[in-house]
Amino acid sequence: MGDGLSAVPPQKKTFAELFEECFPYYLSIGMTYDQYWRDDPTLVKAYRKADELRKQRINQEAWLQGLYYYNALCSASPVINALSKKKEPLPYIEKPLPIAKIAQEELRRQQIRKQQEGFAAFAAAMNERRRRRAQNDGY
Amino acid sequence: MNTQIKFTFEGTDYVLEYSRETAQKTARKGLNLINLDNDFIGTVELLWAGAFLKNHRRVVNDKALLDEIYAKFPRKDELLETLIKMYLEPSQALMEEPDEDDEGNIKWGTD
Repeated sequence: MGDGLSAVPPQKKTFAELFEECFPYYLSIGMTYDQYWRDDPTLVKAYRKADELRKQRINQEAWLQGLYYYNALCSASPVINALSKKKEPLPYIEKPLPIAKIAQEELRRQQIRKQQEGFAAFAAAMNERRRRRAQNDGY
Repeated sequence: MNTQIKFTFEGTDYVLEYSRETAQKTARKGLNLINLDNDFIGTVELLWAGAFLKNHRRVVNDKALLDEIYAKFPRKDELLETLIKMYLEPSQALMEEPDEDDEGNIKWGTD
C-alpha cells in the first residue's frame, strides 16, 4: 500500500537513448541517416505528418478499390444468382468514379448543363402549348 | 525550421544551431541542464561550444575565440534561453504534439 510516494520513478532516458530509440521509426518512414542526425532536427515533424497523410491515402485507395469490386459484383449479380431470371450481366460502370477534384468539377458542370437543357426543353414545350391554345381560341 | 543564432564576427559569418548528432555529442561531453544552478559557468561553456559544433567545428577547440565572441554578445539572459531552446529542440521535436484543432486540448498561458 504505502502513500504512493515510494513508487519507483520512471527511468530517465539520456539523449543518446531517446535518439537511438526513435531512429528506426524515422528510417522506416523514409528519413535518411543524415536527415535524422545532421539536418534540421524539426524535420521529424514533417515526416510524421507525411506518414499520417500516406496512411490516409492508402486507406482511401483501399476503400475505392472495394467500391469498384462492389460495382463489379453488383453488375455480375444476375449471372451469379442462380434464382435470377435475368441471364445477362448488367453493364459495368462506363467511366472511372470521379474522385479527383477536376473530375468532380467536370461532373458538376455536366449536371448543370443537363439541368439547363431540361429546363429549356420544358420551357419550349410550355410555350408551344400556350401558342396552340391561343390559336385554337382564335387569338 | 529549427532555431538558429546568426551573427558576424571579425568578417566571418556564423550560424549556431544544434542537430541531433551535436546535441548527443554535447551531452556525452557532460552537459546536463540540471547542473545549471550548481555549475553555471561550466554548463554555459558546454552549451555555447556545442552550438558551434555543427557548422564551425574548428572553432570549438579554440577556447580563447569562443570566450571572446561570448564576451561581445549582449543580452546574455536571452542568449542563454535561446541556447537552451536550441539544445532541447532535437529531443522535443520527437515528442508528439496534439493537433491545434483538438477539442480536448488544455488551454493555458503565462502571466
